[in-house]
Amino acid sequence: MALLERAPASVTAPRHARPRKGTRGVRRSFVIAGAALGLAALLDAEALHQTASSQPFGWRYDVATAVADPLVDLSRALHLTEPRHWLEDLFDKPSTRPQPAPPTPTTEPPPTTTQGSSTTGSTSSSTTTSTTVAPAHRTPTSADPLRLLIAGDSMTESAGPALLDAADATGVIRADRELRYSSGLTRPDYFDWPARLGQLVAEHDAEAVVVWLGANDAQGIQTPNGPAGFGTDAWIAEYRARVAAVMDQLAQDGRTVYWIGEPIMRSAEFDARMRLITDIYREEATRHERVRFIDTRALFSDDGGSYSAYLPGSDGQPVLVRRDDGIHLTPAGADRLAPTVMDAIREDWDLG
Amino acid sequence: VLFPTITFAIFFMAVWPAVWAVARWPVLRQLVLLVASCGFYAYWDERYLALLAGLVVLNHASAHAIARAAARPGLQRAALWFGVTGHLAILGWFKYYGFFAAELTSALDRLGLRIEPPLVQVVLPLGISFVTFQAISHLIEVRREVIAPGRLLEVATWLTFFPTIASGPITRASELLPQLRDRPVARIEANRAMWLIARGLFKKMVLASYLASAIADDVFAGPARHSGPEVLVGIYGYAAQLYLDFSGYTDMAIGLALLIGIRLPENFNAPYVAQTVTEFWTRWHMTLSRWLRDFVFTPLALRSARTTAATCRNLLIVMLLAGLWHGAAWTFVAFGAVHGLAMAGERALRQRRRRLGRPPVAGGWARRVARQVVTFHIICLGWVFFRAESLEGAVDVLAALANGWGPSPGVTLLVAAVIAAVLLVHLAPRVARDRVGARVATLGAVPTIAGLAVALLVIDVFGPEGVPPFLYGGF
Repeated sequence: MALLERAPASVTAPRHARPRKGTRGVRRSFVIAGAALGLAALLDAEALHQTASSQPFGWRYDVATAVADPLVDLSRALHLTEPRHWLEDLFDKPSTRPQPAPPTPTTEPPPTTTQGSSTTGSTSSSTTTSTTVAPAHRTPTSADPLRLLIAGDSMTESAGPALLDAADATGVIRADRELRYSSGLTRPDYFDWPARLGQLVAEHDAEAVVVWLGANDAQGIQTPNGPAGFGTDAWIAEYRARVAAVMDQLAQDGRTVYWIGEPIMRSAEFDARMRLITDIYREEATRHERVRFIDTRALFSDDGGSYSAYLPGSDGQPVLVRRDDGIHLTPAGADRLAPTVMDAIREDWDLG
Repeated sequence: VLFPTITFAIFFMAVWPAVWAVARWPVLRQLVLLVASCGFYAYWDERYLALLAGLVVLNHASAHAIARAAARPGLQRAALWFGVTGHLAILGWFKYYGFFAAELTSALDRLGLRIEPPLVQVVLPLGISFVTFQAISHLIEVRREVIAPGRLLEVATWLTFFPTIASGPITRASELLPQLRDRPVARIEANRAMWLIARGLFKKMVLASYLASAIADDVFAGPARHSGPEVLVGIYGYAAQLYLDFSGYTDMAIGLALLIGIRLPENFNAPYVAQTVTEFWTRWHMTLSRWLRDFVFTPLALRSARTTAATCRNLLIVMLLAGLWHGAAWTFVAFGAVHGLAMAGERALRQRRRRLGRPPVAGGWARRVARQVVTFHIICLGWVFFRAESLEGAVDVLAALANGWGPSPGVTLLVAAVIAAVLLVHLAPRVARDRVGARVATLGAVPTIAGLAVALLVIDVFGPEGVPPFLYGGF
């Protein structure tokens, strides 16, 4: 049983022993690490400031900006922001230099009454709600394919490939995808979707755009009158205005927009927030010609209209359609969604 | 909390001095580490702290029951089985229930039997596979009298240790418990630790993220859209990405633990230079392979006939288990099968050469390089199944290799350079790597501070926005 006896406790380094090569005292090591982090924070102050500004409004935002504001001032005073600028310019990276403030989105809230019975009810059994009185669309061909852009947040991570494959399978759609994690319409200071969408539709000369945003938007929003908490009247008015502005922007030049609503979520609280956001999309779509709202709620609900991670696959057997966060889709879930989106596109375009 | 975040940096800079402030009192030191680890875990999901507590109590009680029953082999065996089964049952419920319930339903439906087991989606607790294997190693080591059972606080501190809980390395009680019991040496390899952390961040945030977004993700998401050469480079890119991601995490874990005064085992040793798949597993995720070797393969081998066929069967069983350890999906079973079959084939070949009186492997540099190339491609074949979302998806990727030539926008000079650099670093002799490490370890304070600060700046400039999850964090 000798092996079972505890080994005698070793001791700290003998007081007069020669320090081992490559080692340091703990206190000195801590000071060095702290100094390195401090210097790195100064060198990277503008990026840290951006990160601080992207925190949800509340104590995290207040604390982060209270630290980052003087840090960036000090860094600029010492010209320590220059190495980063130099690297950004040399390697063509997005700049962290202060940009002129973007124009404030329109704040005139559009009327909030719901139009049309087809747009009410979040558990509608219909998967698409067409509101379009669409002018004639051309017939895409393999030589002159429909130029489709798919843009959105992390929900498009798994859905994107399925949509791209479904588009490819038609032989008459050339689709491109733009994905930005943690993005939405509430925080243009973190990622400015309207600006990016403007660049993308021009870059791809897109004729149709699939948009899937909203999962990150259940947070406070900056209005001209100051921050507004999620779900308040001020929040709804501002968010609705932003959605309407993006729809206007995308649908101009005869472009067709397919706006995907959020599916049912596992968390009841989060689901309620997503319903509020989705209702805004649905209502705004009814007001915009060439904007088609795609309802995914019924598609991802079980027979009783409740959340279910497993739903019947194409062979009728249950397949896992949601990731274990209760929010995102699995590849099987994306396969379930893709035909619905393609059906909506087919209604407008003759894909053969 | 993910390592490459500001939140974690703040957390660690608070925990680090707190641990050393109480270092002369081992119990207090364990307590501080345990509280820090619980905070780390709760930041991900506080609901599972109760599960962790249950795992610790089960492990501690089982280990003591095994030690107390030392004089009664039957009882001791029962206690061991109780503990191991308990740990595996917990892992099975959280990790495999959904998979097996869905597969069973489908299989019985094909036979005309309709059953409807409740299909619940269980959220996989962070690091459950790593913790379970560590916990089982404790029970077996106590049974083999390698170590005395740990006290409750020691076991809790070890199993929840925040640098390793999410993605390993898979440590053993005999490695960690003595380090937790003893007063640590008050001088640490600070430069080496900080260099490891910076290197891990660079591997993960810059290189792995770049390869994922530049080629690997696109190729695996829609192989049919890519040319054959692009698919091949996409597979190579994923092989490099996975190594950079997982070894980057391990570098950070080892570095962080070193700063706290804990030495962790190595987990990687230039795996892609392996000349056989068997050798690959002595270089890749070394703490998993030694666990499988010591606690599954060796006991199996001792109970089996000493024939080549029996050894090959055992290898296949072990590698199928290794595959399933990674996840509950047929793709992981196929991944394990590729490795198991390759290792069984290598074993059979070696036995044949021995019977013919030849050396186990043929000599010569050309043959060595050929073996490395073949081994690397077998490993890449395994990675295709490992990465794909389904067996059909894996077959699609492999079929797309025959897509022929065509535009390959994903194959850029930079992508090729990063993949080549990863492989070249693998080929660098150990001596050269050690020399660089020794030079870094003895740098003075000022160059260390400046070097680390610039490294962090470069990582942030070239890294992605946001932190992509660690690939092994999902296991």
